[in-house]
Formats: sequence, structure tokens, C-alpha cells
Amino acid sequence: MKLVFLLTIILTSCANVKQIDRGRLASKIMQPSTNAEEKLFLNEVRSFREASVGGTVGAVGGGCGCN
Amino acid sequence: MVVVVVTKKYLIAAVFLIVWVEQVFAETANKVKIIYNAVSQKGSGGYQVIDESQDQDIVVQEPMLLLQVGLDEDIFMHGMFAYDTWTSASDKAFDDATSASLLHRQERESFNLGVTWDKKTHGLSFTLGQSSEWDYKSNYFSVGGYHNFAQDNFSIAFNYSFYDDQTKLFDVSEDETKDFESKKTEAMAFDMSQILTPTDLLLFGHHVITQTGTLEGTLNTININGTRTEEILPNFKLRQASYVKWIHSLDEEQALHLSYRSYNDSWAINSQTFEISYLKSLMDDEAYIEVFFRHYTQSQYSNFETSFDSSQEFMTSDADYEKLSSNQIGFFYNQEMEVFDYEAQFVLGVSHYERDNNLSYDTAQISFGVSF
Repeated sequence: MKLVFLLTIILTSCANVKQIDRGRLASKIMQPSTNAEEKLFLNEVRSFREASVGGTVGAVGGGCGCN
Repeated sequence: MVVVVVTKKYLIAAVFLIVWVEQVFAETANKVKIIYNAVSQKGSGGYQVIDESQDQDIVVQEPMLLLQVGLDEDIFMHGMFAYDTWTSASDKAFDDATSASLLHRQERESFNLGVTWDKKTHGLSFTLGQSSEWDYKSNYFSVGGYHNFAQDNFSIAFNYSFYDDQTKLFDVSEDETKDFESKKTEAMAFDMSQILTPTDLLLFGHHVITQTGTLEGTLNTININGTRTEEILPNFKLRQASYVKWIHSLDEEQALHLSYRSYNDSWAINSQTFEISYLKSLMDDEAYIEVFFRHYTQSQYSNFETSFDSSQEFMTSDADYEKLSSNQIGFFYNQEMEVFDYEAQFVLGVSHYERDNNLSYDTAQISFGVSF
């Protein structure tokens, strides 16, 4: 995982896309958190059925004694 | 005491609604959204269930109300109220065996209220929240911020959350509920995003979570030589998750989202998660569909046993700590439309989850939101 982060930083350090070239990136299907409010619930349900939390929106193992 | 808490809750809600109504006609971003969530689970591998049935069937329903009120161009308040109700086989088994609650159906109320200052290139957010159910209650706050750099090519975000929770365990031998015990959770999230090319976006981050206090499940039991008693877990856990997500535009109307998460904790549990989503834009970007597949695998907690021959320092039979893998497939339909000259959004979502230790569930979600 550390290698992934190192590669990520190296790969991204010189990237620079101008505003005028971001038409495709502005599309709804390119947003980082599509259906975010609905997926929050899916993440919560999973977090109480698996031993892992984090790395997603919400669901950090607090706030609920869910089954 | 209950009356005071409930009154305070509704007072806050009333103040929030008054502010909201006053702002409806202002040229700011106001939004109201209703979400209905439902889960139907089948499970027959729950070694933690008190009556040896291993039955983990459960049905959960959760209506949720989300509000956002723009105070000016950059500042808005946001709030959430959710009401969960569930009927579960393990609760029923527990009630039948111990007369613990005699509820057979439980419920949880939760709400939060926050304010966000967003200048589009940087911003801050603060949220306070509370939830309560029969054997668990929580007060929490979170604070976060973000800043964009290099003409918004690179963004970095930070969030800190603190949960001051209390959990009520059951003393199986005494057949009575214990008093509330403390459980505290701190979570720190570092998230970054980088635009790679006009068609590629990369996200990555690291989340650190610490938990102290009573970490046992409220109704989890173990079997020691035929005798049922409560599970025993350490009172500290350090959890870490790192992730990377790549978003790639295939063409004007199609995109792929690929993500990987690596997790480990101080109980020596580690897991890997892979997820792929395919999204297709419809009706000139007024709507889109999303199909996702998620694969998850985790190692077994060293103190997990389906049953125990003798007592040891830490013991659990919670099937969530068993070595397992799971697959989930899901679908979302998201559409924006105009309703009485207001912008509205409709979302429909369904998914199926299958775990290889005899547990599966289906989810259904429907939401409708209006922006003023």
C-alpha cells in the first residue's frame, strides 16, 4: 500500500489539467461520491457485518449498537 | 429526563425549521430530501446467538429526512433525522431466553445538525449529533475542512470525529441488564484527490480510528463447555484503512470507478476490498445508472471460536470476526427533474450481499429531494 501511495504522488505531482479541459470531469458520472447519501447507509450496514471500517464515507464504528 | 431530552431535540428541530422557512425564498441553496432505506437479512451462522439457533435473520427499515438551509452564498446549515426500526431473530431469541427487553422489535432515533462554510476552493464544516436506542446511545461531533491547490487540480481534506457512546450489555448468568458502560471512538480521515488527465481522477486517503472502553457487542454470547456467557474483548482497538480510487471516463456518456481498500487493526485482523462501478449517463446527463460489484475478504480474529473448551482472557463467537469473504452487487438509478419549477432528484437503489459464512441480505432504497 505504501508503494501505491508513493507511485500516486510521483504520478500526480506533474499533472495539471486546465479548467477549460475539464468538461468530461464535470459530468455527474465522474463525481467522486455518486449517490453519496444512499451509499452512506450501505456502508453502515456493511460495517456491522464485517470486521473492517474506514476508507469510505461515514461508518467509523461509533454511534450505533447495530446488529 | 427522557422528556427533557426529547423536548430539547424537538426544540432544536423547531429552530432549524424556522430558520429554514425564513430562508426558503432567499436566493440560497436550500434542499430537503427524504430517503427510505430497508434491509432484509437471512443468516444461519451466528454462533453468538444465545439460544444456539445461529439465526441471524433481521429486517431493518429506516426513513430519513435531510435538510440543507443556505444562510448566504457560502454558508449553509444541514441536518438529518433518521428513525430505524428492526425485528431480529437474535433479539427475539435473547428476549425469550432472558426476558431482557420483551421488545422483539427495537428502534433507534438519530439526528445531527451542522454548519458548513464553503468557498469552493476551501471550506470548513462542523456537525453535532446524537442517537439513542434501548441498549446503546451516542453523542458525537465532527469537524472537517478541505483546500484545493494548483487551480483545483489537487485537493486535500481532513476530518476528525469523536463519538462519546454508552452501551448496555447483558449479564447472562444474572439474567439482568447491566448499567450503561462507556465506549469512545475517535476517527481521523485524510483524503486527497488529484486530476490526472481530462478523463482521469485519482483519490486516495488514510483513515485512523481508535476505540476504547466496552467494545463487546450488546447481545453477543459465547459457549464454554455448554454454558452460555458474554463475550470478552479487549478494551482498546486501533484501526487503520488506506484506499485508492481511480475514476476514468470511457467516453462522454460512460465512466468506470475502481477502488481498493486495505485495512488492519491492533487485533491483527486485516482485510482487502475491491470495488468496480460502471456508470452510464442518460438523457443529456439528466439521469444516470450505476452498477457496482464489491468483493471483500478478511482474516479471522485470533480469539474467535465457534465454541470454547475452557475460559481464556478474550473470547468471541461473533460470526463477523470469522475468516470470511463477501460479494455484493448493486444498482442505482438517479434522475433530476423539474417539479413545480423546482429542481428535484429521484434515486432508486437495490443491492444483494452474500457472505460465505451463511449470511446474505438485500437492500432497497428510494429517495426524493427538492432544491429551492
